[in-house]
Amino acid sequence: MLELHGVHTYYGKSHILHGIDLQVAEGEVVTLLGRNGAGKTTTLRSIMGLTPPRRGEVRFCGKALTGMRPYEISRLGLGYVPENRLIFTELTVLENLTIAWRPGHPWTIERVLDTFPGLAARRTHRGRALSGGEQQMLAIARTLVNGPRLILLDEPSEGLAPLIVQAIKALLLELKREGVTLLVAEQNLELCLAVADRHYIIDQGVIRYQGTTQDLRRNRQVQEAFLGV
Amino acid sequence: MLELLVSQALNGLVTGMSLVLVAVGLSIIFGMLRIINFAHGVFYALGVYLAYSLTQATGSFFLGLVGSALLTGLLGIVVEAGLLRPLYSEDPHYHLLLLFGLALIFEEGIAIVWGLEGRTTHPPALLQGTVDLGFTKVALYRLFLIAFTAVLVLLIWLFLRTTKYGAILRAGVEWPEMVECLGINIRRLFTAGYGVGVALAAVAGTLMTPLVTIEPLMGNSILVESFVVVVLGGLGNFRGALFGGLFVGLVMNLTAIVSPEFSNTVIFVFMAAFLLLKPEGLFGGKGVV
Ligand SMILES: Nc1ncnc2c1ncn2[C@@H]1O[C@H](COP(=O)(O)OP(=O)(O)O)[C@@H](O)[C@H]1O
Ligand SMILES: [Mg+2]
Repeated sequence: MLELHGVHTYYGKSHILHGIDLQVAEGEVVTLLGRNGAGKTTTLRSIMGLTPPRRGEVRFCGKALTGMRPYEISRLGLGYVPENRLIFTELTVLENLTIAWRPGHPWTIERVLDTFPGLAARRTHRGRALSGGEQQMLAIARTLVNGPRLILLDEPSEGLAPLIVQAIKALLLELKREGVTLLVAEQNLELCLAVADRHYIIDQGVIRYQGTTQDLRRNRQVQEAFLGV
Repeated sequence: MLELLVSQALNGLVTGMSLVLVAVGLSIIFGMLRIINFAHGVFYALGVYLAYSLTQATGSFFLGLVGSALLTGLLGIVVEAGLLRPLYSEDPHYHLLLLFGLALIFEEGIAIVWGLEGRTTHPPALLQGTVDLGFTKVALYRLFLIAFTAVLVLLIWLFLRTTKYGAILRAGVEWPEMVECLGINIRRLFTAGYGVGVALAAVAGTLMTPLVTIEPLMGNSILVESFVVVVLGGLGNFRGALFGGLFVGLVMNLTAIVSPEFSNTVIFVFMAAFLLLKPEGLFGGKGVV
């Protein structure tokens, strides 16, 4: 469904991604693991067209995304939940969802509010009044009502208390049961092992490892080398 | 004395409401594009001249007002999409230079097309005459101007506050990239915002024409006054533009009772004080609306 072929991405003159290859099939939950500064966010931004690759190709559902603007890529069915959530703090919870909603898919605003009871209770509150965990939930909910066929999730557990991370884990498992396709960038190995089928590990802009959950769980050497576990 | 006070307060509201429109436009543009529109004053002047000619051609002040707003807005759209957009990825000094250059070109253009001599106009027939408030008489046109701009400002506020497009706009001011990642073509929205911003300047200018002398450089003093407004209120903020505009209008006109010479200076005293003590303005950093 999503394929990256030899993606090279730069910020100005600094060469960040050095030929990333990665695939996600429909219905799969795949993670992109790596330490701080490894290039996870840059990979997701390259896919979304926010920081377009200078070389290589991103394909989604068989279509090359080269030269497309982020809004066009979004309309093809790619959803993005950014690092730091980027909640619209002056908008209410409901407004955050309303401006994102698009017709033609099962994730209506009502359904999302059923799935996230915490948000339903705060629907008239402004984004800035939410806690970090609630903001993360809202960021995910906002992307769901946008109706994507694949969601890119950037460090959903970052900066959240362990109890909230458990809630995020439960949510990701629920989305997986619903058949949502996910590519999750994370540093939290335990979370990744619990929710995903396959994993990539990125380090200094290069994919250093790929394997199944079963394989990665046993592979202490890889864990130590690239994740500092 | 009461008469003078009331009449100057009304004049203050007139000047103030016109400044509010100018400052709301500046704020919309700054909020979305993160540029200070140094060409705002010249769009104001251009709007005045377009309305002047359209009014003469059609015989209707209101057709002139609407036509000038549309044409000025359209020109703004062309300027944003054609000239400013290629520069967003460059050093911010480039748009400053571009906007200064454009302002000079438009100013000269106005002088070439319409000439340098000052012109005056009258309010439309429907709005001539005075209203007797019992203790004093007020020109009907001034009351109309206050009411008209108040309704316009209220409509803009309702649009930003209650419609989906308004919400998208507020969202785009905060995280443009995120809005784009939700499938919304934010550049088109920003272009429209620039058009609306300069169209509001044209409306503000046109409404003032029966009360002032029309001349090619008339946008400059407005630009300076509206900068004072946004310094006081906080740039990129609707409430700031509203309170700042009314405040500057009232202070200028009430000071004129005591000392007409000082009335243009006093607002800069306030501006300096704010820059020193509260540089983010009264409503700075409190969102758009
Ligand atoms: N806007 C930027 N400009 C320049 N370098 C950047 C920028 N953003 C990130 N980088 C650099 O790119 C590298 C990868 O960053 P990032 O993709 O954010 O890593 P991760 O998400 O894995 O923590 C880091 O070395 C970081 O310093
Ligand atoms: Mg990151």
